[in-house]
Amino acid sequence: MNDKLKHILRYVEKPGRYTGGEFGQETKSSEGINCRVAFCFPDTYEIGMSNLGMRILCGVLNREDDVLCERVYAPWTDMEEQMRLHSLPLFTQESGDDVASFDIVAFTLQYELCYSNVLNMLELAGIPLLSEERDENAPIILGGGPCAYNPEPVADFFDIFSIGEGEEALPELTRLYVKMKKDGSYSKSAFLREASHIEGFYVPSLYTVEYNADGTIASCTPKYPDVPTRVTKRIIKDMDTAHYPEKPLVPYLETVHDRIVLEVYRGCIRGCRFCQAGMVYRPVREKTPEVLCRQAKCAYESTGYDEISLSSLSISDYSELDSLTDGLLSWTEDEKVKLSLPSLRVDSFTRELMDKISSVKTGGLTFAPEAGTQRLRDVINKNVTEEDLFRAVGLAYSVGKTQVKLYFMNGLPTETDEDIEGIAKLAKDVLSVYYNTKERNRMRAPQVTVSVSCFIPKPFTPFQWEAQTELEELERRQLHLKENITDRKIKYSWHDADVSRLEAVFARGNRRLVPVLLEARKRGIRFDAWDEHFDYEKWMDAFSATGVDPAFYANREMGEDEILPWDVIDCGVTKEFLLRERHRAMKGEATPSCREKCSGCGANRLGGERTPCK
Amino acid sequence: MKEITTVRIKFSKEGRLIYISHLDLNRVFSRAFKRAGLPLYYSEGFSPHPRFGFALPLSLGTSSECEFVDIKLREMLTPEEVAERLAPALPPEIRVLDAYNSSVKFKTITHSDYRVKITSGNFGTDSAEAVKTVLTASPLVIIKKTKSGEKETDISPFISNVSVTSEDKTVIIDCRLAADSANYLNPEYLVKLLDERLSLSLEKDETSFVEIHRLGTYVDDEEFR
Ligand code: SF4
Repeated sequence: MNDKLKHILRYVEKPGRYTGGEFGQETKSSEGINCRVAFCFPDTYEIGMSNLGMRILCGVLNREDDVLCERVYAPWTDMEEQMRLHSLPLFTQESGDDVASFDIVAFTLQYELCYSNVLNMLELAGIPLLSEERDENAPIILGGGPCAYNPEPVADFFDIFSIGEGEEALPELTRLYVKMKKDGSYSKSAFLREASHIEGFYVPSLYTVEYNADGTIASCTPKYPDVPTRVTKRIIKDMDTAHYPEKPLVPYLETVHDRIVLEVYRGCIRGCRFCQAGMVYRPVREKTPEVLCRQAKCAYESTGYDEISLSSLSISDYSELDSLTDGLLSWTEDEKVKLSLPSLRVDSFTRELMDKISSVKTGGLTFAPEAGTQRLRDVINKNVTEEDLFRAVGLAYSVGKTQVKLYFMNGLPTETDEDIEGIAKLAKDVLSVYYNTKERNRMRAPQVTVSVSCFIPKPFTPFQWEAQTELEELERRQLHLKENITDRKIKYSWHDADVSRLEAVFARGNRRLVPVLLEARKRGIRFDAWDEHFDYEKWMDAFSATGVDPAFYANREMGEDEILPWDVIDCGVTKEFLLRERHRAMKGEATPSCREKCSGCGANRLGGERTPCK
Repeated sequence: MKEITTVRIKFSKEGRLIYISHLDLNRVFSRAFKRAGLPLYYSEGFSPHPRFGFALPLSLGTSSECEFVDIKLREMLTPEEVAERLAPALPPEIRVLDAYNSSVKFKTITHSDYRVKITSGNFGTDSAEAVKTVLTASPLVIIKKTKSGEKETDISPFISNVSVTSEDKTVIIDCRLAADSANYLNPEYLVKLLDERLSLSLEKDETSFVEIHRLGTYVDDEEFR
């Protein structure tokens, strides 16, 4: 640790965020290293350390003999202030080396609201923001993660994007880098051109985008014949053999998910029409319980964590949940290790599960009906009925639970005031289930929490063409719901609609948003995912200063034959399928899950082991 | 489950680990115990917790060679066995210095010795003398944070055995500070005091440097064990 950093650490709130050296960190000797990668998470240490994907990818890179991968997180504002004051450039956790000195600087893009942090981190590293401004000496800037499915709003900042799962793709990229450096064929442009031939890599500077007079895209074409017209995402076919950090780093600071995270499967058999993750991670690929149990045990022994969280998009859809939980419980109970699950589907909520899983046993309960009426739930393909919900909460109430949390969305396509009133009614009915449950816990007052977010149309979903409801109207609906909730035992919380609007802009954005992001950087915007830093007015000023209309992206219904900014990416699911689903939605027709019946989404083309696809 | 034995571990904390808080240290140990496979004694009840406790809090940024933790076990193990298993399970910045059974309670602790090193371009020529004058003044009134808000407190009775040497721009202060729960004096107060009284501008001056190290823990004049 250098003296400047030591000096600074006395004056920041949580110095442990910046020192690295977490338990289990291995120091790789710098000898024989031919490619150094700085892997950046554009949010705080506590959030970044909780991200399993980043740990996996750092792991696979460090497995390569001649690659060194180090971690970087966004410094919190107090640290940033000190770094700027003392001209300390952005550095990595492990070695403390300048990020700018690395060969490749990778960013994982987990949510649109992190874009301002990406630019701030580049600036703190002293790296020019725009790809075209970076010379041969600057690192290659690589992007990946869920937001890379529509990389266009940040296309000009990145040299290359990794589309889809990176476990196999990233080492292929570093190997190419090393090879070209060694045989002398390397130059930034030669490397990027060559890399565009590797499946799953998108080099935005190799495409020309032309626009129509109305601002929609006229064409997006490769500049050279050897560059692919569309980039297909990569997947890991056999999850059992995929890299899993069996000896994960153990942070000293408390992080957001401070526990062992076990990824049970990838993908989702459901087809909720608003959900991007459910579409882009297709097809489902399961791990076997044997592999999961071994990985969990190994991770426990090397970390000493007291909690294992089973993570996947809809955990109860795992076909071998019973044998997995039995396998884990065979030793976790004795070791006092808790099992936890993210929210459950109501139709899968059983007495047995409640007995097995500590988080279900002791915690409050969370369900996500998403919409207030059956009509709207059919539109969004959330195949959950009121009866399922009442049965699940009834069961929970009968074993003494009193707190239930329900997630909903406002502004879903076709939503009317009736659907909003339906949310209030559903919450009330859930409360009545409590009073009608004989064995209810009378010692504690019941509470139903209604938490409502705003619908954001996302690329690669059947709702990708929909307009987001205007801000004022969203706010009116939030208020309307508030007026309809009269019972004091029902608590109502909602997300700020202006945050969701900005997310919608960047989710469906194109390259014309680049100047807006540059303007936002000039205006000091960052940490948009944090309430205390999000400043909608400042953003709107950045839009008007650059003459870009946010409504064009957020509040416009896109045409079904319009060229969409993300059409250059192939995520497996076809546009025909998405259109079919859109039309079914408007007719209120539900679509069965992949396990009941294949709907021919196209993702089976990618292959995969232990998948419901044919 | 019954508690069978309590083992006291004396340990040091240094390097990057000085930047983690007391709460973080709790987690570090509870995970290390599990990695070491120690048969911990758990409290009864709805969510059982392993039972262990530390002697004194150590403030963020301070290193130490005299920290203590008592671990309750549900199986009979000798202190040596506990130390042997625990040492490799701890981060390298925490070293086990000693392990034994002890009945001396943590709350009997009265004092801690510290070494405070301050490097500053703004020290005058007679820096050691100036520092000593500030620290040995009586009364020595500072604004101290207490549970009931900020309060003017005379801290001179809580400081003793002050010796100061200097070398170049660095002043080394050895002192004994009150450490019983009622009068616990955090050595950071001394740094703050010197910063203000001698106009050191420690935060602004990036060549400045502060190191605080806890050297020993005492029950009156006797070393705590
Ligand atoms: S191909 Fe069929 S089974 Fe496979 S993910 Fe698509 S819809 Fe589901």
